[in-house]
Amino acid sequence: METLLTAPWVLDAINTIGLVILLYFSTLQLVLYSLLILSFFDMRRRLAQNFYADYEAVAKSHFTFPISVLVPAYNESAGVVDSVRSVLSLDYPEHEAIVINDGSTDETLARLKREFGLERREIVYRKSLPFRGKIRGLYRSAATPKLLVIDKEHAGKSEALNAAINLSRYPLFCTIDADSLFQDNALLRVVRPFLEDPERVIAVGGQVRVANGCRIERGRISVPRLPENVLAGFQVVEYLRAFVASRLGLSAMNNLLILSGVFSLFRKDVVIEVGGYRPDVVTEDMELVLRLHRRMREQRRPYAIQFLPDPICWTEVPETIGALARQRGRWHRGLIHSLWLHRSLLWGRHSGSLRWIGLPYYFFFEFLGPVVELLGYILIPIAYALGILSPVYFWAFLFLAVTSGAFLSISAVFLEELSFGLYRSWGDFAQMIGIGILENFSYRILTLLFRLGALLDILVGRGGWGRQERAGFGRSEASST
Amino acid sequence: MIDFQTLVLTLGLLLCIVALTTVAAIANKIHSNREEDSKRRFLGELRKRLLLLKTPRGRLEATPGIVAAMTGRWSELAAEEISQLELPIRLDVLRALERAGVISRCIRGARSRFKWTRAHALRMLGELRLPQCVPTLLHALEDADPDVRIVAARSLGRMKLEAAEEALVELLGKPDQAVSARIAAICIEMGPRTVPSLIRTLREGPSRARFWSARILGEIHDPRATRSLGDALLDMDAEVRSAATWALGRMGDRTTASLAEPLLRDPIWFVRAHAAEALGRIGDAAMAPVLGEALRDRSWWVRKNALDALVRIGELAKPALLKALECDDRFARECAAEGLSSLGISASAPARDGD
Repeated sequence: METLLTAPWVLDAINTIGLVILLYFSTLQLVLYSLLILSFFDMRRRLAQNFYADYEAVAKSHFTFPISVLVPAYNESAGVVDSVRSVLSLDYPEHEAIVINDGSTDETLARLKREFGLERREIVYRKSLPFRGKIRGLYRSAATPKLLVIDKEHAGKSEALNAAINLSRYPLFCTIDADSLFQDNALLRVVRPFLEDPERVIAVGGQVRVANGCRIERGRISVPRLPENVLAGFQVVEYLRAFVASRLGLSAMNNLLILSGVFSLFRKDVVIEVGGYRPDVVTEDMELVLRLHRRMREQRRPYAIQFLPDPICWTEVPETIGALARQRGRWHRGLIHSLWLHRSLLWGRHSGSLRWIGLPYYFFFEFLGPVVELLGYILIPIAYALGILSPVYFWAFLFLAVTSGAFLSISAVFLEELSFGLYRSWGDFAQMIGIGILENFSYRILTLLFRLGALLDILVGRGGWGRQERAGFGRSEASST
Repeated sequence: MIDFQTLVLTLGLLLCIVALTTVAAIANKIHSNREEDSKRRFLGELRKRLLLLKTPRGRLEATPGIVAAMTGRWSELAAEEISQLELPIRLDVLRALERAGVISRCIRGARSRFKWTRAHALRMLGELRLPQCVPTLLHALEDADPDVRIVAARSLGRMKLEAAEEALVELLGKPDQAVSARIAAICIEMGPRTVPSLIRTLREGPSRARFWSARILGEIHDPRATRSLGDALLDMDAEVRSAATWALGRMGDRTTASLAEPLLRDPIWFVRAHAAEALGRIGDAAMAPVLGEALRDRSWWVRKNALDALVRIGELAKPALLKALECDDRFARECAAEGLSSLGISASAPARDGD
């Protein structure tokens, strides 16, 4: 074994792979720093726009676009009522809430019926999009005419959303998870790009924040706070980094490939034109955005898919390692599947900047990232042990990895403070800075393992959604009040 | 390979950047907390000064401080506070600001080559509501930058001066959608006094302006517009026809039902859809049979709007819905069943051969 490891070709190979990893790592950092800078300027511009132009006044006027808010719910009895209340009480001139009970086996439908006094109704709808799972009943409430509940057989989130699109009345639709809560003005803000440029803008995503630990009153986040659960705390900083520091930068270049299914607004006609949500992909949100990019670019139609940092939606994140592992595994499998389905964009003649920026970013850094990172964790200690890598370089590499990771996280916290400053207390602020440093030794490695697990799942042909656990907002409400 | 010294230097630099970012984040947190305090203090002091304006002696004492506030860090806040003063006091303050050159500085700022300086100046002018600033704001509505155009429209909305109404209506449809929507919202707030200009534009303006005029007239509900809106139903532009029928629906005048009815046979689907919606809003039961026929239209939205219109008409639409229940179009039968169930009558669409 020792002879093999010291063989010249093995040493050369380790050396070369080490160099590739170093090069990969440096490029990744450079890209992330560039996105951070772009995000910073874009954020400043948008905040100035908000301050001077008061877009909300336009959105509140008679000439805004009405919106259908789609809330798919599968076994969400814990949080569905709060979530629907949050949608119904939104500050927006004209909107409807469509809840899809996707064959829940728990109390989801019963709770909705009880809380909103729902009555079964016959409603004629146009089947613009095909969907699986028979509709068992449609429910309306005399007291809340803005609410429609679809009770259908379980067939998955994509099918539920397609059914809801068929029954929606308005030209724009917004998706929100049943375990999420909108900020009061979220719709007024997310509709802004459609008012600015109704011809070009086809989809807009808002920012998703972690609701765990926050004080919730009447379906609203009244006091944003960091969660006590460590795992959820790490996700607060992770979400900030993902949304504030990277998506904003990609959006500025119209290269954003992911709009979170938790909170995005779409033009209905374009989504119907591309065939709606695809049921065989676990990250249907990403796949739809990729398909929209592809269709628009293939047909050479001018379009924009944007991310805005100021419309905010709060969501419940996993608090146990098992639930987090399932969620991340699902996301990574979905990412790979979606990229694979639209791989032709990488060499397509009409892909434009997507070929050079968006797709390589997701392909090399998001999809291949875990593999390269794992190789680094294995090969660099081996190279160090064999004396190929001097102790100085070994420690330097580790130092570089930790400090650059910490830099990105702290910068995201900084950007949040600079723009919104939602977490008012010094304690929360200090905790976020601490998490930004600590996550590099712990949480990052954990999520790496989950993503590697997803890759393994793909190789052995495992998949699916996995079981999801919902604590519901009632618990954080009870613990905080 | 990199030599040891360069490596240490690079790592040191990186560590410095991380430390600096952390320090900057902490400094920003301290700064924003202080800024909140300073804003609160500023507003407290300004409000005290504004209270002094009620007496002639206090006015002398308070004016220099108010002028200073209008040129300082929180000038936008000061402008907002001044805009809420009673008219005679506000005019005194504006005169003082004019003498101190604050207004002319804002007007100069509105022509700056930096967009946010222009935006800031336009926002200030909007809060101060001076008639002589209207041309500056109207000019800014055609600024090259969309953000500046929006700020100008917002400022004009704050002013709502009579001097602006004609010019505003003239600008309808010229700039982008967001600015036109803003101008439209201002015209609605200004109310009936904009109606003559809007009617003129509806008759003589370019198509986008005609479209916006019809939409605004529909919101203002002024009976003077009925005739012009009726004429606009024959417009060459389908969007204008659709906006005019929508507007007549909003106005809800029963005598206009017969004018909107022929549009249910318009070749353009969205005109027919708006006509169905308008007939529902007007609520004339005599239109129920034609709306029942529209349940068989080839366009989904026409059928859906016709169904909603029949439900809106209520009990008197029952014969039309029952008749539709018997027709050979399956979709119309289902719509009729839905409409009847909405009216509290249990009915199911009978199945037919060939469905």
